Amino acid sequence: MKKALLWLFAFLFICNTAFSQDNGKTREKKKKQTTTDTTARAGVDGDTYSDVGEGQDDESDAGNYVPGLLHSSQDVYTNNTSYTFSIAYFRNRGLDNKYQNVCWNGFSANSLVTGRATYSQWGGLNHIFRYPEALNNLDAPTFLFGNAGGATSYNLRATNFRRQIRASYSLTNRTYSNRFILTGATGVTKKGWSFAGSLSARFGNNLSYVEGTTYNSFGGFFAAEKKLNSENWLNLALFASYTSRGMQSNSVQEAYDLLNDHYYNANWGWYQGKQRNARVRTVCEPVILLTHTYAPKSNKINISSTLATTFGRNSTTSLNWYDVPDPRPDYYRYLPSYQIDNGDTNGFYNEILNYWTTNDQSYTQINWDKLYEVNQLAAAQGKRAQYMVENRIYDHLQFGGSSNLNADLSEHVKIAAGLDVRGMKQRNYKTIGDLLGGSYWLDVDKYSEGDFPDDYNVQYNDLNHINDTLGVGDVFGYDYDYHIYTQRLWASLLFTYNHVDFHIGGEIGGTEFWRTGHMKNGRWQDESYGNSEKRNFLDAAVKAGVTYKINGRNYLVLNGLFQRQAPGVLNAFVAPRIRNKYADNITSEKLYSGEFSYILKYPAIKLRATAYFIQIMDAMRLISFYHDDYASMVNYSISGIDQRHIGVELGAEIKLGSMFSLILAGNYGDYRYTDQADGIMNAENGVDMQGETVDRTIYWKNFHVAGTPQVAATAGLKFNHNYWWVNINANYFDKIYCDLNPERRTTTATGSLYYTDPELYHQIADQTRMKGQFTLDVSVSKSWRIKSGYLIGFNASVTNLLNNKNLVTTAWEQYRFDFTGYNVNKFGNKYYYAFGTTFYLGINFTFN
Amino acid sequence: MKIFKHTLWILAVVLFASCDLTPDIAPVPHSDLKANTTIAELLAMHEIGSLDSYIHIPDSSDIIITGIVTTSDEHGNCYKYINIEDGTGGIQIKINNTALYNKFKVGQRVYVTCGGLDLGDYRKLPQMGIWANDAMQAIPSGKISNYVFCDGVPQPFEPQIVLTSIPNANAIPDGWYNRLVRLEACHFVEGGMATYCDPNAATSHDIEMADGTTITMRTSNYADFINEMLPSGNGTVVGILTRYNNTVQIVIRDLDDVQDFVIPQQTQTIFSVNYPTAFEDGWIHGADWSIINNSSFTGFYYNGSTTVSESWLISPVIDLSNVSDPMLEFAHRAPQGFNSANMKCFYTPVYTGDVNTTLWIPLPLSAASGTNTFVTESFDLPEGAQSENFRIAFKAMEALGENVQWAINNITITGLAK
Repeated sequence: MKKALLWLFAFLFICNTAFSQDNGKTREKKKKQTTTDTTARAGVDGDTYSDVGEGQDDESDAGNYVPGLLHSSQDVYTNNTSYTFSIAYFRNRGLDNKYQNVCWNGFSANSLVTGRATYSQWGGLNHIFRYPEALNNLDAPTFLFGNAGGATSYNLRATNFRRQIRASYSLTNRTYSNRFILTGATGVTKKGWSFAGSLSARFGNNLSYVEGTTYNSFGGFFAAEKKLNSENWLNLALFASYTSRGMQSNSVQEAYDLLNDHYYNANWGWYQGKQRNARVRTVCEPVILLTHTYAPKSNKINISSTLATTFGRNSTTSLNWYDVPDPRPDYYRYLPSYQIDNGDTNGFYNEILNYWTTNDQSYTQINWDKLYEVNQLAAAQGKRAQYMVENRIYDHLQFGGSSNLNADLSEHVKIAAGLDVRGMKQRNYKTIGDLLGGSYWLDVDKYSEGDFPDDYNVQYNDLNHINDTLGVGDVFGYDYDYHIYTQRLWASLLFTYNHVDFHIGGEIGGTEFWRTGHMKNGRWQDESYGNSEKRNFLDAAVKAGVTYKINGRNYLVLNGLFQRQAPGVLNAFVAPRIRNKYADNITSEKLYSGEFSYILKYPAIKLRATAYFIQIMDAMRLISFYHDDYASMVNYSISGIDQRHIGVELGAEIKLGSMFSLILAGNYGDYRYTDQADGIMNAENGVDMQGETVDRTIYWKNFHVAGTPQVAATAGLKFNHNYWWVNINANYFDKIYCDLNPERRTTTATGSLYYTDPELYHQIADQTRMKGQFTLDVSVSKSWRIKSGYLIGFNASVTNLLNNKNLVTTAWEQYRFDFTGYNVNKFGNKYYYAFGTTFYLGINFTFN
Repeated sequence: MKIFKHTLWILAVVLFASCDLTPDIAPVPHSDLKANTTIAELLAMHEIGSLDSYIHIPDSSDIIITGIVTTSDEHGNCYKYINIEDGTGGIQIKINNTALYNKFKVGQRVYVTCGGLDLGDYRKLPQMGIWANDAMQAIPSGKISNYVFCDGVPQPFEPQIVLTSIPNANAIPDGWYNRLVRLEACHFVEGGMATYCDPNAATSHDIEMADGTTITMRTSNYADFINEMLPSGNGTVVGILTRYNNTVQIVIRDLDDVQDFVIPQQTQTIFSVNYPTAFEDGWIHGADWSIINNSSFTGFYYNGSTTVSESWLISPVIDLSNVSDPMLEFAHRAPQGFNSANMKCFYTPVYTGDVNTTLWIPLPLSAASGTNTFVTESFDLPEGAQSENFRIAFKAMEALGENVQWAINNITITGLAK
């Protein structure tokens, strides 16, 4: 059925020769350069066991921040905060990136699996992806219907790029050292052709801020557009970015303190005289877009339709081990505190303390030689390898299409409408990346062995390949596909009158997904192989708003949104790596949101003040971690997550004479869970294979939703004269909370401690709040026109000039918890800190 | 504009409606289970034989028991089990985890769904768990939440069985084992001479009851109090009553279970005058009183003058303020015969310096005072005597023609230090 819909859409695309106007008309004249790849901490590493989809979504949870909407905008708040707040991993209104829609030529860039746009798909192609069109928050739909966090559209038509050649070089000490970009566009030739292309390279780690990280990235873009006639254009755009990077780890405060380094990276170790990183993420997911545009000169209608395919691989390496000590140097047993907990404050304690305080890197970093030694010894005895580097891979293939219409129905009424159909298959599996001198690997679950002495099969991850001796490149552990199909149809009417504008629109669609297992798991023989049941969800949304124009300078705006969306497929299964079983409480997520703004537009002062409200209900989340009670990896499916985000935003830009402007902008938010949630846990090693899952209520109402500072403010001074631009910003971030381990807020965990040992109860249940921090940024840029058509530009910026290394960007409680001894420090919180002082130097040449 | 005003109000209300932002507190555990079987009834399902054995309670069984947790592994003397009791009996539930005291505190009510578990015994002591390899094994920690359910806040729990004598193992009712008991008026045979446990092995120590029956206290060498000395004296021991075949045992949870051990106090001599050779400082005496030491008389001696006379012998101040249960003893002899009218003994809490104004409390002397031998008099001095200015006094009187002779020796006051 879904495939038929896709074919139908293709047919519609081909037949489409109607209507149009310039859909770029709302593009701002004054643009702000996107800086995604330089501000993002592109190498950070999520909690090893945090999410089942770990690794595939750069823009996801803790530790994987990429500023979502670095869109250009005329909005005074967004303009002055999107870059400035990015150092603190600020999320607009506290929302996950999945609430921000991104599209290329109208085709949605949000992954059907993660819900988030994967910015690394166009990483490095800054010349191309620098001028997106923005839909702020709950603005009236234009190019997309828009989600609660707004929407961003990249126009990748060749005719969108003016005739010129542009070359840039940048030097930075953040995640890579060098970046080259070369871009050229022809403009429209006499024969109606337009071409645009761009190549980029980012490489070098000699200046990288975090030791042991690496970065190599190459990107390419090509677009060709043909003007078919006066009203129709056909554009083909292809782009891809290959990025491979050694990532930064997260660690516990104890490790940071012992080394006096908030950027300690446990992911690397010395090997053959070089730093070798065990966690290397490699992403290459090309995109091909075929876009037809109908835009008659009347400018009263515009229809843009795109057929698209995306495909490629996202993989992350990681250490794996069997029946040997954990190779990660910051494993809790290798820290001095573990010795203290065991009553040893002399012997081993002093020895281990010395390793850390002297930073003996054979201990504080991965000891690759030891891993090889163990494996080589095993190989010599004919035994299996005990350490290896595995490669967790996500391969996807997506087809789809979209068609968007903008039309003036009358002097006062405009319509925006769209259709979006997509189908995607993603294969999730892992392979043996490096046996580290070992001879072979056996695909058994190390946590299952011994638990079921009477059932020999239980330990095997794939009963179809029992006792296979596996080598490099072989698939093991898990292997399954997600299939997701979605269809969306939306329309919105915008009414414009002298004093009042209003809009109302709706979206309706459907989502279907299922899982296909390629392994017959020994613990779940009847529900691991083949197709799962298919699940369908009705998706719908209503969006409306009204703008009251008090006069040409003062506006009052009220917008609202209600939507229900299918749960993400990542959260839909209780143990997606090995089972076809859906979570019991799977249901659509509901969201309603409202915002009320006062906007002031004077030549000397621009201001927006907004109060916003977002209520999310019935969200779901799946986390996976090691549980000591089960001695197994467990999957913890949380449903019924309700959260409310309320707050106020203020953005003001006040001119101080002809050269200076004062910037004041900030957000004061309060993001909390508003109800208890339900958690269902099951162990992957099969100890509960009789169906005895453990369900519990998570008592986290009024706890804070983490992942962003809830308070962020900046005061800045802008200077602009004679093509010199200077910006100085002082920033403050606060209400930074630690992400919660839901299990610590259950009766199972705390029992009656609240009454019998209140101090311990609060140690377990209270949420950690980080200290507020200040940062200071300075940037300077200048451009010169050498001669007509030749332009040289220079820009330099220093972020966090005062070198504040105490700004926590991400904090979370480990999911592993000491439910035996109730020692909250045994598996302490993990943190990422914002970089201290970093610089960015860029020079660019433009030849028209 | 009205619409905006109203909207603003609505927005404000929505934004600030829920001002109670107190973070959730996870409620105490609650179970809706209802017990349908007493522990005694459960225990009766399994017959204890000469060898360890078990019965399997089918998965489909709906047997639910409830009880109060009495054990704690916080101090290491209990390991991987909890005991619960319900008034009819007690049962040990084996759980493969440590630090169980965090989840199952003493006094915690729990419900246990028994279906799927095994009920058996180890050396005749009833246990529940999973039977495997010819022995009762602990329930895997990951499964315990499927069987044992806490309910409510732990409440203080006192032993319901108090023992002053230990019957033999087979005479003890089945419903007493695995329960918290209190042994009263008992003492450790090795009290003051041994530690609780050998560091290298679990250790047994006998506890003897007042009636001479004994019970074995069994202590694990993983307990954190093994190096403490067993207390001397008598006291109370609380613990779990167990058995090892036919040996009756008790297992304490921590040192708080060893209570009120007191060594009986030794009587102290507060004042003693034996065979005096002179009136020491502080003695007040009339002229007819002397010190004599010969074959006939020894000590203080009154020798009357056959005239009408009255003569006092008053001791020095004796501080009895810190003495409990003071007892006065002295020996006396009346060679001319005893006459209680002529020979009197008193004490006073305070002597004014004048015998006539002093409050004298008489201590009645025995009429049996001998003529040829000393007779010992003994008095428990009352509470009113426990003064820091206490004195005793002897008063001899004679009428005309009477010849009163009175020898007093071995005056001793003993008592217990307060």
